[in-house]
Amino acid sequence: MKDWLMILLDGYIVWMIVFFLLSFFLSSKRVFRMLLFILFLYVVTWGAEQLELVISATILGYIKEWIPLIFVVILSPDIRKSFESAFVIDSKRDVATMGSAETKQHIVEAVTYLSSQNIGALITVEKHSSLDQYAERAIQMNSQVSKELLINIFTPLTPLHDGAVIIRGDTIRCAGAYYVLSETTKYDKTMGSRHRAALGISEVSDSLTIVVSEETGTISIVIEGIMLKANDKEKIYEYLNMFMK
Amino acid sequence: MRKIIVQIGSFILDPIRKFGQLKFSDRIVSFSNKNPWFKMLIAFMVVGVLVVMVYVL
Repeated sequence: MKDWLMILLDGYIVWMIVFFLLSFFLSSKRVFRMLLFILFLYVVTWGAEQLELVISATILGYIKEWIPLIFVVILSPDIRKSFESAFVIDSKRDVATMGSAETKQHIVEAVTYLSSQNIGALITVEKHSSLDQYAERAIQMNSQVSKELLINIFTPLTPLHDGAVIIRGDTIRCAGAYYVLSETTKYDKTMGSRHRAALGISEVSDSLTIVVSEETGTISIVIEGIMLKANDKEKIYEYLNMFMK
Repeated sequence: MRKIIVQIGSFILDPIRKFGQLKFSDRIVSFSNKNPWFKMLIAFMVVGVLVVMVYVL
């Protein structure tokens, strides 16, 4: 019985370590690419040693010794962030809170008004994936979603207009959030940074983002790395209904 | 001469470049971000394998 308990405790501790390491390496594309590059380097070094390739094995051997230090230096901001947030409980967890019909109506009306005035806007509706990491660096709001408030946020020359609004359920979680821009080549290269940001967040989360173009006033809906044009109220409402079930 | 050097260089680098263009690392990260269970499952699998290797075998 005691042995089983020890095995269980051992497994539990190892699980936490493995989960922490996985969370760190899968936290961003940059970190994961770095991990793959290092693994590739180790595999090539091992291959060179096995095949007794004297020159390459010697050079790669020297590089291998310096890898841990290079890794720590390059990824120090990411390592620090991982330690800071290792035991922080996500405020959202896995339960998705979806907005009411009234919230959807307010979003649709705000977006169509902003489009008619050629005012740029970026509104993200959260689903299962938490967007807390973006919200924490933005201006916290936690206020009820309303058409007037959304219009006010995106009105040019106001402090919050540049950035995204994150909506969770019936509340505006924050305004002025910044996302990592997508590097996709699927769409026009002249696409603005607002649209790229929307694509960026859709690639790393299961959220839905509505973008209003400042230049043309066109409304786009971005989800799962796909951008769709939706210029009438009914279509936007339909998308929101499908998403916010 | 320069053209030949560039062509040889491109020929050597081509497989690595093509492998990079697959962006399979990006897909894994995106999938993991969208599915929180993925990391947990991998962690369970790793622990399972380690426990079996150390305590059973």
